[in-house]
Amino acid sequence: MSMRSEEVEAKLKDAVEKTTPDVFEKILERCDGHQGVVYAVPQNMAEQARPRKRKRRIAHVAASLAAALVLALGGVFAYNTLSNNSVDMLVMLDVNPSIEIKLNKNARVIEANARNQEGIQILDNMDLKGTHIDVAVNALVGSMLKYGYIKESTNSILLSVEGMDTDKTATLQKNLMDSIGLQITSANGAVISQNLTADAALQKLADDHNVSYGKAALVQKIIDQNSHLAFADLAKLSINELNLLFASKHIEAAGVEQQGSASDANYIGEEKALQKVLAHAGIEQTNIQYLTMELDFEDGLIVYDIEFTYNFVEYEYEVNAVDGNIIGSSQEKADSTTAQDGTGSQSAQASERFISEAKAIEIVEAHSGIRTYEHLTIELDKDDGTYIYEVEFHVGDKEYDYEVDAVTGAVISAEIGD
Amino acid sequence: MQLPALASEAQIKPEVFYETCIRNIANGDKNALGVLYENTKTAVYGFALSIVRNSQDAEDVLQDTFVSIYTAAHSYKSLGKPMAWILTIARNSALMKLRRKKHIADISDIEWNAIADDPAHVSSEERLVLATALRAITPEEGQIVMLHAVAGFKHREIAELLSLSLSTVLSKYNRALKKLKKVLEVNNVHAQ
Repeated sequence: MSMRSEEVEAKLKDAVEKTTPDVFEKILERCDGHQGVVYAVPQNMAEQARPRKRKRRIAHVAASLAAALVLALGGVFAYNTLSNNSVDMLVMLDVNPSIEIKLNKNARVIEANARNQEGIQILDNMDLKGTHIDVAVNALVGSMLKYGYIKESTNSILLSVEGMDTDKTATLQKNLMDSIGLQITSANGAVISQNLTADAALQKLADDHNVSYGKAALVQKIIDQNSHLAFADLAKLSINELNLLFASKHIEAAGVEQQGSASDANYIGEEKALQKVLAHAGIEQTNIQYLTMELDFEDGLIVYDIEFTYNFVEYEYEVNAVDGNIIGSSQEKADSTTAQDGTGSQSAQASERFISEAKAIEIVEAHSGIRTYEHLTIELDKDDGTYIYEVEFHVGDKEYDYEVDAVTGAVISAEIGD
Repeated sequence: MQLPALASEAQIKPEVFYETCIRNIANGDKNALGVLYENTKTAVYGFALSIVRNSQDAEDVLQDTFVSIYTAAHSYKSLGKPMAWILTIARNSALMKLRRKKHIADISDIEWNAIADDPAHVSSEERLVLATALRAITPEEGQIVMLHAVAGFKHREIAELLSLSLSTVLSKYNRALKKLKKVLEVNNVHAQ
C-alpha cells in the first residue's frame, strides 16, 4: 500500500528531528562573547519591508552615479588598456534591448555592441571601452531603467556570460547578478542568468531565428525539459515570458540562477484563473483537492494549466493567461486514492462502483442518529484492499469516527472518543 | 520565573510559552534561551535546511538564529506569533548565508551525499530520507513542506510568512508531496 500524505510528513519530521545537531553549547559561547555576525532582526512582521526601501533609494543613486562616471571617465580607461585587446569573455544583456559586450582577461570592456534598435538607444553615446564590466553593466542597466525597459509588466533581465573558463564565467555571472539584482530592486525587477560556452549549433539556431545567443541558450534549456515546445514559438516570447515559464515549470538547469520574480502583471493571475475555472465547472473552491496550477505555453499562447480533483473526477483546464478565456478542458474519472497510491486505471474502474460521499454521510447520520455536528471530514481510503470512507465529526467534546465500505455502504466500524 | 522544559508541560498555548521565553531572554535569561532552543530547534533546522540545502550550513544557520534571538529578544513585540518571528530570523540568516556563498541552485552531488554520510550523526536512514527528499523538490517547495510538516504551520500561516497566496502554497505543497511520495517509495523508505 502506498504512503499517505501524513506518513510522508511524519517521515520527514522524524528525519529532521533525528538529524538536528546539538549546537547549544556553541550558541551559549557566542552569546557570551558576542562573537560572529548578528543579523538584522525585524522588529515585527509588519516592519520587515522598511529597511529594504531605504536600500532601494541608495541603489538608485548609485546607479546614476555609475552612469555619470562612465560618461566622464570612459575615455581615460580606454587609453590605459588599449593594448589588451583579445576577447576572453562575452557578457550579454537581453531585456528587449539586446547588447553584447566583449571583455579582455581583466574583465574590462573591449567593445559593446547593440544587437537591435532598442540596444542602440540604450548604448546611446556611452563610451564603455576600457571600463570594468561591473561599471559597464551598471551603466547599461541604469540606462534601461531610465528608458523604461524594466517596468512593472516586463521586469526581467537575462544575463549571459560566455567564456572558455567555466569557473571564471560562473564567478562573473554571480557577481554581476548580485549587482544587477540590487540595482533593479527599485523597479521590482528580476534577473535570470546563465553561464555558457561556445556552441556552433546553438549559434546557428540563434542566427536563424534572429535572437541573441543568450536568449537562444535559454530557450533551448526550456525545450530540453519540455520536448513538446518548439524553438520557433519560444523564440518569439519576451525575456520576461521565458523567465516566467522557467520558474513556473521548475526547470533546473546547470549554471542558471534566478533572482526576483518575473512579472505576471500582464496576466490575470493564478487566483483569477482558478475562479474562472471553478465558475465554469460549477464547483466551490473548498470542495476541491490536489490543486496544482502552472504557467504553460500552448499553441502560441501563455496559459494557466490548472488541475484538481473533485468528487473522484480529475479536471484539467487550460486558461488563456491574458484574457482568462478557457481554451481547453478535460475531465477524467478517477478517485482520490489514485493520486495517493498510483494504482491508476484499476482504482479508476473501482471508483465507478463507489457510493457518493453524500450517500456515505447519509448512512453515518442514519446509523448514529446524529444530524447536528461540527467539523465533518470525509476521506476515501484503501484499507486491506477494501475502499472505505473515513467519516469524522464532532459533537461537543466527543469525536465520532466512522468507517463505511465505499462499495456496499456497510458501516465497518464506529468509534466515539474524546 | 522558572520555565518548564517543554511547552507541553507548561499547560499553556505554545505561542504564549514561547513569548514568555523570549521575554525572559530579553532579560538575559540563558536558561530561557535553552528552553526555547530545545522546543524549536527542529523547526529552525528543518526550515534552514530547506533553504541552504546542506547540513553544515544549516547547522551554522541554527547557531546564528539563536544568537540573533538572544541579542534581539528585547526588540520583540508581542503579536502572538513568536514562531513566525523566530523563523523570519532563521530565514534571514539562511539567505545571508546563501548570499555569502553565492550559490543557490548548484549543489553538487558530493554535497548532497555529505548530508547522507555525515559521520557526526548516527542514523543514515534519516539522512538519506532528507537528502533524497530535498533533492527531489525545489527550495521553495522544501520550505513550504518543512513549515507544514516540521514547524506545524497552517497553510494560511505559511502563505503569510513567505508572502505567497494561499492557493499558491496549497498548489506547491500538493506538488511537493506528490514528488516526495514518489521518491520515498522508489527509495523504499516506506513508513513502517
